[in-house]
Amino acid sequence: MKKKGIWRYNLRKIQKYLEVMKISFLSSSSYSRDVLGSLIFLFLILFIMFSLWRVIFSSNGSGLAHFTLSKMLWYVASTEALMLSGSKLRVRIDSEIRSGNIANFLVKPFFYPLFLVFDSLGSSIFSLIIRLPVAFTVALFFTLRLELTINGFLSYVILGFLGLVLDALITIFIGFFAFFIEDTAPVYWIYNKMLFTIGGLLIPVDIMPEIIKKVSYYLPFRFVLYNPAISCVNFSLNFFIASLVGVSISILVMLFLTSMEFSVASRRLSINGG
Amino acid sequence: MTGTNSAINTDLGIFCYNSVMEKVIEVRNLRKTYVSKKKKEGFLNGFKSFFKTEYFDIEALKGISLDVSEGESLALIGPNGAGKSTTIKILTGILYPTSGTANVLGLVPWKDRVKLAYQIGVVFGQRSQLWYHLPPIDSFSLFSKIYELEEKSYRKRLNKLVEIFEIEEYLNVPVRKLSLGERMRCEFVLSLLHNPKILFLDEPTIGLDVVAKSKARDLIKRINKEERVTVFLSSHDTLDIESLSKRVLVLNNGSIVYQGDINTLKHGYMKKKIIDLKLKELKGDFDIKGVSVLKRKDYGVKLEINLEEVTQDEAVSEIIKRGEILDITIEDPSLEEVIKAIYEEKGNLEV
Repeated sequence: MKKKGIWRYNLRKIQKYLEVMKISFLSSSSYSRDVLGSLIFLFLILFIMFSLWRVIFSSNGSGLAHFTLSKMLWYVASTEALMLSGSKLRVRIDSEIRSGNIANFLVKPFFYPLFLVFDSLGSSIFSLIIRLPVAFTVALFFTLRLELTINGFLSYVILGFLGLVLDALITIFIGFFAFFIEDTAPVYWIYNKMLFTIGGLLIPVDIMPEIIKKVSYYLPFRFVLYNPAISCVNFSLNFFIASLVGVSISILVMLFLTSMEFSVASRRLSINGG
Repeated sequence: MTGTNSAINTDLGIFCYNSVMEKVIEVRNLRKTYVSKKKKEGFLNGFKSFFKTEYFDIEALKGISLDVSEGESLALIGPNGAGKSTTIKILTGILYPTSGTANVLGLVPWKDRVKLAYQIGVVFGQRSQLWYHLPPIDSFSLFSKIYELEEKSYRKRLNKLVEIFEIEEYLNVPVRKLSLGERMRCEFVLSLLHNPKILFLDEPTIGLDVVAKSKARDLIKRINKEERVTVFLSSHDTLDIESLSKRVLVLNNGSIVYQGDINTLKHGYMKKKIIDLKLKELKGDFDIKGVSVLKRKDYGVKLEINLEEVTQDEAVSEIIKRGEILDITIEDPSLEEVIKAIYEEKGNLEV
């Protein structure tokens, strides 16, 4: 009976964050025109990237690392779908801290950083559900090959979801810098470019120089895009397990850092108009 | 929570109402100092400050003490920058004070913020807690989970609040399509869903039109009376204070300059009324006992009534004889004037 009570208690604690995710998902779906616009944008980006890789492969002949042209295009579709579904929280956190609207969240019985993670996940999941079929359809259209296995797809979904959690945590971590510095945009810009380069958005880490590969290996950025996308087009159980462990450790580290940062920041909070 | 047996004036100078009731808020010598950057004038000084930043302290609260009893409705009043919002934000656990103690429902707000959140409701007039793109019913459902309410009790509570605040027709309309008054009513419902013991209201009627303001006041009053929810209100609007609270606390520059009965404040310090008149035709002058002309232009006149010499009714009945009135507004003196009067007469009243 007592055990049941504890379970029920914990379930309620978890349920509140899942509800935040659900509401955020619903809120993201309220503008169908915006969704259509973003899909056109995704199509254009993929078209440009595909054209670019075609030119590179035609001058390179046999392929790059273990990538064929078709695998590369599916890889790009996988990373782009994740990238465009990433957290949009930075600007919101920044404005909430600056305007003092954060007060509304601090008087509620939840842990604000976790609230933000689930809020971000709700909109990211909606975004990915809409974008992924489009990205894969475009890839299929351009390659006329299905570079996707069931294992690959499932590992992409799992690693992609965890990648989005990590992305949300890093974005929130940067967003909370607004407690200490005037503008968080430059810091976020650096993070964004990390995802572009050593995070494997534009070029898979495998075909980069050895030194950059090593740097990328020791940083968490590759878990957001590169690892889910590689697992998707080139599934291997070992790589999947290693990625799962890596991304989980990165999430725990970022959760700890973000919680510490929030704890320090909330002590020095001052709000305009009180 | 602590019970008290007596108290009108304690040795700390804290004015206590409903002394037999339990205290739900106890504040002692609360201070809050903000540190701000000093910006000097001119290009060179501005550039110098890039290398060497100077800071200065802003004392938002200078050691305030107050008590609030269960079921009471206390109003904080004061001009901009007086420390009203800072007080509310410390008592709700949002801000850490620089020094002093506070006890809200037996908890230290800034240490037990999450625990306290289950027992209090907060409405900030200029900030919304509702999800902008979704109808209010979705936000209510979310908050029922956040406050860990049982589905059955949530439904029952929601139905009651929907009826009291008359929001049934807006429940399924996206928040972005609601008027400010309608939105505020939904904000109240959201803050009361979990049966809070104390309702903190920071400028709850700001920006509302006259009708919406009056409606909001009636509803807050009803919740205070029927559910015995303690109301801790801050406002610029003297009408909010008059209609909602018996006890008022006047803050100025971070200090309490008056703490006591609203009627004593009114009769003791609001000894003047300002009348704005528009007449069709001006007959004679305004040589009326206790009435002085502040401004006169064509058919518009601004008058000041000294209530120590003449009552408002007497003055108005004399004024209307001076011509056919197109428009008339009667206002209280500004808060600044009331505070000035309090300072001038400080010592005559329990401060």
